[in-house]
Amino acid sequence: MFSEILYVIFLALDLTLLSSSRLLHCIRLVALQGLLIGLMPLADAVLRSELRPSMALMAMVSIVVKAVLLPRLLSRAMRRAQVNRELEPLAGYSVSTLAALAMVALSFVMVRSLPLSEYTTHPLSVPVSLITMLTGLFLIIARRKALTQALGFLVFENGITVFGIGMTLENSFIVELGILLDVLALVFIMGIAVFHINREFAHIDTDRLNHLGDWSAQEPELKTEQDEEE
Amino acid sequence: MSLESVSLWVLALGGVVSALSMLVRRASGHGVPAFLGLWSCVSGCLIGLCGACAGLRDGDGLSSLFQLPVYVVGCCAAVHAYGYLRGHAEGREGAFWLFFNGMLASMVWVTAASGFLEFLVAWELMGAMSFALVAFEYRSKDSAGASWGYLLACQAGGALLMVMHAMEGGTGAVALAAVVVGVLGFGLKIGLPGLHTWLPEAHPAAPAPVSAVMSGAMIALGFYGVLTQVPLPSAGPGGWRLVAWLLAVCGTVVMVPAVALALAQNNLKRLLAYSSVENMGVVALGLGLGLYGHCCGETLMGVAGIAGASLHLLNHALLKGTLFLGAGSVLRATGTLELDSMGGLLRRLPQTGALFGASAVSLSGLPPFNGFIGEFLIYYAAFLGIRHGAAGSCATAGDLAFLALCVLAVLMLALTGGLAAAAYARAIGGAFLGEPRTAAAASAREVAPCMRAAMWVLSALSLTVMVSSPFLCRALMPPVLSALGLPSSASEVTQVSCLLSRVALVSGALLLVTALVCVARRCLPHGAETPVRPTWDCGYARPDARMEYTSTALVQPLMDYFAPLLRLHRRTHPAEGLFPEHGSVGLHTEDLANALLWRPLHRLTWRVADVVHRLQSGYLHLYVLVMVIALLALLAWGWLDGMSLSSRGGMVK
Amino acid sequence: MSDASVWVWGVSLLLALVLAPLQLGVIAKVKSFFGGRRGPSVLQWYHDLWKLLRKESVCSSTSAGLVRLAPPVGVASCLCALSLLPLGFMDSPLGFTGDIIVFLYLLGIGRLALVLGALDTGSSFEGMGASRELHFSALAEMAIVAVVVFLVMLTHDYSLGGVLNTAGTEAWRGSGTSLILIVIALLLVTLAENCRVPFDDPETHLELTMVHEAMVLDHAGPDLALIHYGAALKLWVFAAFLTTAAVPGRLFACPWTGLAVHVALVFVVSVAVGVIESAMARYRFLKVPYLLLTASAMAAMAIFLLEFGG
Repeated sequence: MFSEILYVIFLALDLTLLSSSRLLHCIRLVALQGLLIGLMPLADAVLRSELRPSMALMAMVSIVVKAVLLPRLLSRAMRRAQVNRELEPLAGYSVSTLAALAMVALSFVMVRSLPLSEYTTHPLSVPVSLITMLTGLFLIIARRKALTQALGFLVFENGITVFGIGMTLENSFIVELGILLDVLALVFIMGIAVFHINREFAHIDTDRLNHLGDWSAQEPELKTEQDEEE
Repeated sequence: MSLESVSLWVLALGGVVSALSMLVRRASGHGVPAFLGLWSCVSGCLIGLCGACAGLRDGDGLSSLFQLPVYVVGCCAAVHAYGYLRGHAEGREGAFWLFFNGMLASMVWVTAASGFLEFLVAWELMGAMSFALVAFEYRSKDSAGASWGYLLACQAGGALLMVMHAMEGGTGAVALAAVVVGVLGFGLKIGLPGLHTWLPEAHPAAPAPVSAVMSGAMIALGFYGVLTQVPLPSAGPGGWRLVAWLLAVCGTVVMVPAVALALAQNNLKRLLAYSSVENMGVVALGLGLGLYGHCCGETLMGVAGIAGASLHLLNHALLKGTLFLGAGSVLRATGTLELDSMGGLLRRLPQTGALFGASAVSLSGLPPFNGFIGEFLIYYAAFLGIRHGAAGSCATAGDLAFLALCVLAVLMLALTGGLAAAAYARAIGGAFLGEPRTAAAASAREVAPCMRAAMWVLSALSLTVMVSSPFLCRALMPPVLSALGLPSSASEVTQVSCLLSRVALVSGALLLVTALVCVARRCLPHGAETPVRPTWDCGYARPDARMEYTSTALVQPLMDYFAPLLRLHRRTHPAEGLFPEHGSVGLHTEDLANALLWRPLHRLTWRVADVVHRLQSGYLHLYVLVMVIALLALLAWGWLDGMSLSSRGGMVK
Repeated sequence: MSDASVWVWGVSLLLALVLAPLQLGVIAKVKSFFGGRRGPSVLQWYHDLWKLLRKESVCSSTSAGLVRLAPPVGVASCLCALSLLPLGFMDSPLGFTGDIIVFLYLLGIGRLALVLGALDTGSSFEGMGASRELHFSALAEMAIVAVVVFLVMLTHDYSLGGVLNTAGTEAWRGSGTSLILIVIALLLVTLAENCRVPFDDPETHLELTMVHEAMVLDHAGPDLALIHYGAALKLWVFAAFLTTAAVPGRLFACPWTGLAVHVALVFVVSVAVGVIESAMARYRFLKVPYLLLTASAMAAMAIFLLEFGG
């Protein structure tokens, strides 16, 4: 029940991620995911009362990297670039939510046909990891801002880690490998993010905030009118 | 000679005589032809109605079920048409009544035809007659395009039916393909997703009584075709499986886009036409669920689905008949169909307004009215489907898919219900409530008595259906089920009609409680006094019609929300200067099927025609060359076919 | 069905009719507590209703009479919906298979009557309120139907009594997480349908930002009293729906304990609404549909979890 709740919260975070427009909010959500990823193996181990110090250390490292360090870096990049909101996503938020539901359905149906059940620690782990990976990919595809795309990579990587956690808890080697992957992802993501941000925002003036989008400076009439109505 | 054929002959002869009298007394105008046409039509319909009621007891249940709306709506529409045409027919009453009676007769013939060939002839005749009626007001701007589009749809449907007939008797994939082709062919009439685009064009162009008959009775005949003419791949309940899937999926898919488009329309009759597409989707869903229920042994679900579809069909005929007739009355009273140029008509046309309003609320499927009962049963069938899927742990992929379909169908039904309420709130609010927005609307008068009478009769019948729905269900279901070749399942029918009686009780209770609350409110110390004051507009003392929310503004948030489905775009002309005189915002929508399917197809056809056109050069030798090449190609094909046959035969040996 | 259960149900119905305005008082009290004020008495709404009932009504000169019809229809529809609900954890004696659909659509007719009444006055502000109401209610309806679909899948039943009362302890043990999702979705729907923060602010004084309140600008005296009473009843209907679905009612051996718990839980919902209103700002209108869609998505997620997970 307890780990089920953790998985469902993870799922809900995926959904919320797709439907929120504030970048800082998104970063916080990803940080929360990182925290959950750290807690998941710990919670399981505590419940089975086979907690080992190495495991706790791994969890600590994971939490520090994913829930503190990476979000810090991203939010600093965000402040530097002075973007705080995804103004024109390629797919609107309603469409994103519907797409998320479709992804959830797809993942569950796919997992039903995979012969994984005897290896997994929890029936939800594999679908949740698949959904998280798909969410990450969706963020990369359907959002314009470089930062949201970097977040997408991070979410994708979270999905991989959840898969690792779900598949073999006993073998801490895999977990270590996961951490290693984290570091790799860290370098990778920040590389991409910094590259994108440099490329996109090098020329901007800070007072022209609505030109901060990646490549489109013109706004559809409809959107602006609605914004003004508010 | 059966009552059915008597009515058929009365209708047909009445139409011909009316047209002849027109020819004889060219100068007389309204009198004789209209009189002859009207009375032949009414008497034919009444005779036929008796026949259909008798047929429900001991004849073919299915054709009687589909004949009921034809007679009822046809009769009332004829009465309405008598007033509708007066002074507007330009001396063509005879032609109108010829085609109108002919259309009704051919619709009856469709349901009475015995073989496929006879059916096809009747079907095409029905298309031709209604085409003539759609083109009746041929001088108006939209009429030409609409009527040609309608003719094309009719012809394409007929062609598909012939293809279906040619494929009949095949095995394996061919048999399944025949079902698909058949459903598509009839789907053109029903307005299945993508095939519905003629509907919103043809209905506004046709005279209102014709739209009432077409929308209430004719498009439903597509279902009759699907149920009787499509060759089932195998006998027994199992043969329905593919048809059930097709209908249920099409119904689920079409509902929400159709109702979203309905609420985006400013033309009252277009709104009603899109709503017909939506309601046919609901019926298709009900039929699909019902047939599937019989396939998988869930008899209660089967009976609920089919009963829901049948009742919704009848209710839709009555209600949509009233609504289209009401739209016709509004057109005659104000001279326009644009909702944004009406307003305040309920005070000026109290009877028409009240009947239109009640029917509209009813058709959005809300409880104390009859539009709810069909939807209720279809919901119920979908919930039974969900339970079937959830309890059966979904062993096969098909089960799982059906569970998903049921869940989706319920959600879409819910969304459709909300949107339909919004669409009809737009229609009622825009046309009948508030202050009149134009001088024409302000000076509107109640229409001729015969036009009101037609609406009264239809509404009274709606009320009768509401009250008597359990009995109606018990009377309709056994003959319909037996006509479909399904088990009669008497206990399930009883169960369903018990449910309907409970629903009727709740509806009665709602009316009773409302009445009690009203009475109690009047008994309050100052309850009976109601001083009349201008509308309080937040301190502004002289609100007028220009400050009102227009009907478009009412649904604008919803339109924005469904913008991708509607291909919504705005044309804004902002007000400029210190004392601006002009400034406007217009919302424009487009049918997704037109944009994604038909327009590209149209363009492709032109391009192909452009290429083929080069052959038409006027040189005889080129023509002969083409013929010879075609002949040689056919010969080669035959030869190759023979080769492959013989080689296959050799392998068998 | 035993006599005691019918009695309990009947007493609950009576209590609902009597205590419904008290919920509004409780909400106001909670809000004043968080605002650091003493606030009006919890009985204030009874005084208000009594005052309104003795006043005379005013009818708009534009109206064709629908504006007078809307309040009674609203109250009657809520009453009928309430009488189908299981109250005090006892099935309604009036319930039947499939009444869950009737229940949802009964609420729909009350809403549509209010909308048409608003349009009847021809007021621009009321048109605005009606427009927003139509928008939000269509989406809220989908959300609540999604919740109902989940409950049907969980309990394999489709009468209100069966659906809400059967979701008992085993259900919480077996699929607790999805039930949590459902409860959140239901809470969102409750807030949306009753025009509460974050969807609408019942205490706003600016007509431009109103939804429900804008639709009743032209109602006065007894009509307004009926509107307010109907709104209170509707809140009770949703609170009862929510709590009956969330709490396994078969726990209580004595039916009268169930009744007490039921009424207490309804007021817990009022307190929760008050806390939410104190803690949250209301959403921008553009965001409201997303929130409603999220409620539907949560219900859909619960359906997936029920069907595939665990």
